[in-house]
Amino acid sequence: MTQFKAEVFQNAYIPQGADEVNAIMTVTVEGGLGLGSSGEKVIGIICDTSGSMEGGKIHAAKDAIVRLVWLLPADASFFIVAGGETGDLIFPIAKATPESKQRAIAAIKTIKAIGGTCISTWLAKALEQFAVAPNAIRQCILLTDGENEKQDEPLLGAMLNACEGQFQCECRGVGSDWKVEELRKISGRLLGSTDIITRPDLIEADFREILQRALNKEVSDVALRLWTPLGSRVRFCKQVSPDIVDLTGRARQPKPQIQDYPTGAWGKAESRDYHFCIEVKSGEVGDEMLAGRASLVVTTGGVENKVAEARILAVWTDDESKSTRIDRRVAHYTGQAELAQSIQEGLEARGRGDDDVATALLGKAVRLAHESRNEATTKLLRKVVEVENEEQGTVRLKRLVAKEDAMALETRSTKTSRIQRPDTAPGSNQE
Amino acid sequence: MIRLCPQCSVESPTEDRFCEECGTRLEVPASAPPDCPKCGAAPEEIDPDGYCAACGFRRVASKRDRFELTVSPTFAGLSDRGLRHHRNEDFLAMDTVAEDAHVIVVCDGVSSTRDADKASEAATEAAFRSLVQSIESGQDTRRTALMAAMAKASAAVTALASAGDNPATTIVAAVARGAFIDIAWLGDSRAYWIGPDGPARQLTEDDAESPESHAITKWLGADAPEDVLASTVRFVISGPGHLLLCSDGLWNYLPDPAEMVRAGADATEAVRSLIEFANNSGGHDNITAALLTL
Repeated sequence: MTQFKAEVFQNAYIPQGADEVNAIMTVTVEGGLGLGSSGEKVIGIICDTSGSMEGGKIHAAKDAIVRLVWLLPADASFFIVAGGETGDLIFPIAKATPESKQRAIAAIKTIKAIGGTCISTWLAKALEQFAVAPNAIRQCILLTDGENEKQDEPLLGAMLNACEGQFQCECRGVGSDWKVEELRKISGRLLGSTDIITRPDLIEADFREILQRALNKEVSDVALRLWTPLGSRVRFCKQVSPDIVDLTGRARQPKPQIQDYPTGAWGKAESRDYHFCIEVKSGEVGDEMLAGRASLVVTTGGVENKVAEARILAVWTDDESKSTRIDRRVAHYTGQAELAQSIQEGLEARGRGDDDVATALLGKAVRLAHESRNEATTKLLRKVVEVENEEQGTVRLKRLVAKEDAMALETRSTKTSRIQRPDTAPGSNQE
Repeated sequence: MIRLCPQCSVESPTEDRFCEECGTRLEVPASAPPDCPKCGAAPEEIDPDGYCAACGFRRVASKRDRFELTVSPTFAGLSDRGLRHHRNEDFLAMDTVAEDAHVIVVCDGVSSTRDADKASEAATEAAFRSLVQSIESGQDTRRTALMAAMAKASAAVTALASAGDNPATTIVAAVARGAFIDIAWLGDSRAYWIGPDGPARQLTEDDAESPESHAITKWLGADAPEDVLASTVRFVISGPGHLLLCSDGLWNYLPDPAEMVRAGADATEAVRSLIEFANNSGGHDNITAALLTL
């Protein structure tokens, strides 16, 4: 049985008239094997084979996929889609036996880089394949190097609606001619991440890591269920660690007062943090309220299983020494969200030539990253700005910045540091 | 609806709390728990921890938050959370033992300590049990019994101490029997005598720096000075009147409770109106009052 543990961190005391309750919930997987999954795993591989991939990129991608296929355990299933103007299923779903691996590799060899980029057709092919194994852990890798064709945009929107909840997708952009926003839209809806692979020779290492994580997953289709009192409103629900994912608009509402947020599949020893911000009816001093009840729900064969639960409370007090304290986890992740926003808006300002705004925002980002000891982000920021004073956030924009470095900062701006615990080394970024 | 007195089998209307014939206390029927006081949701919407599944608010009237003790029409007490504190840190115990000995203990937990509610409860229980035992075993030598009860209460509160927290409480205990009332106390919880006319007479002297400061100079708890002894006083009953024990949540608002006590139809009504008065005046602290009419 996979055991989930849910813990809430908050300062429940709020002053008279206050109507906002903030809490961080840490969810950790503890122990054992497969509740909620058949143990079956399907790995889908989608590789961009449009004309722009021609040359080093397509060679490196083909090599990386061949290696990936070799690494697949025999009990996993896989399929491969070559993506151009239409999705071409070059290897339909099959168990990863030595024999089928041979056939897959032969099919990979035939791939040629030609034509345009219509991602909706690639996802359509993947959706068909995943439909064969609805109870499996369903993970997809999508590699591309360019922008989606304009005429595919509306089709992609509709396809994402169809794919949501059907499989998860990790998106990787190789080089610097792709759009962060575009891939993030796909990975966000399909509960994966978006990252940059700056050079083709790094594709293989990245794929290995994605596969490792995918194979580590034990439970699929986990929902975060939040009960809130009548008359309340969820201002936001965000995953805040290991990276920031806003789930607010993603909720299903199975009944009144209950929101189900998708969290996808969970692996061994995985731990994530969530930030809830709930607007409640204000109470009187002395009142105590259950402002939220958060639980994890695993659905297996249509049967829901509640696996962990934690409470979010509100206690109104006129004791200021109690109500003015901010829980340090809430403060930390509020800071991390501000950091990500400063980077995104700073890079945007830089892009449109507004240097003053860009300098101010990226300077603020440097300060926030320093304060929260988010060293990974600090390192990325230093490639874009010259830091004069970390504590005060005084910076100068660098004149010559590699496009890949700016994109790396943009894609990884949502990675958060975890709050420093006495027993962990400072500066470790996530996990 | 009618029900029978368990003592004399005379019928009484259900709303009566005492048998008209013999005065026996009629068992209060297990009435349905109230609806959610905030949103009016049905009782079944309220979870075992008291939270309403509709509006989320916790039902204020948990057992400890407000509890009423009625020994007889002339002997009753009430302890209430008040309006400003999120829990009730006062505690109260009272009963009539060995037919004619009336025992009352009131404690007020010092709210700067974390387990103030546990401190007042432990002290009350220990002192009360000790007094009842002394009286029932016939060793009722009043002052000795009271001092023994104080020692038991002190030990009970001291046992609650943990690293970083020394729970503490005030205490006032009274035994009324025959022509005497004997009282012992530490801190600023009080005892009053209220005669047929005139103002109430305070029988205790607050162990406090000044009546305004609320900084008590004596208390029960692990951090109490070791050589501190409870003060005691003996009051000689010379005529009819009322004995009132209360915490500062009451006397802060009502320095002279005489009129209100005399106006009560019975002891229960009187303590209810006292607590109501304190709450209407602001209810800034927990409020406890115990009344014995002699």
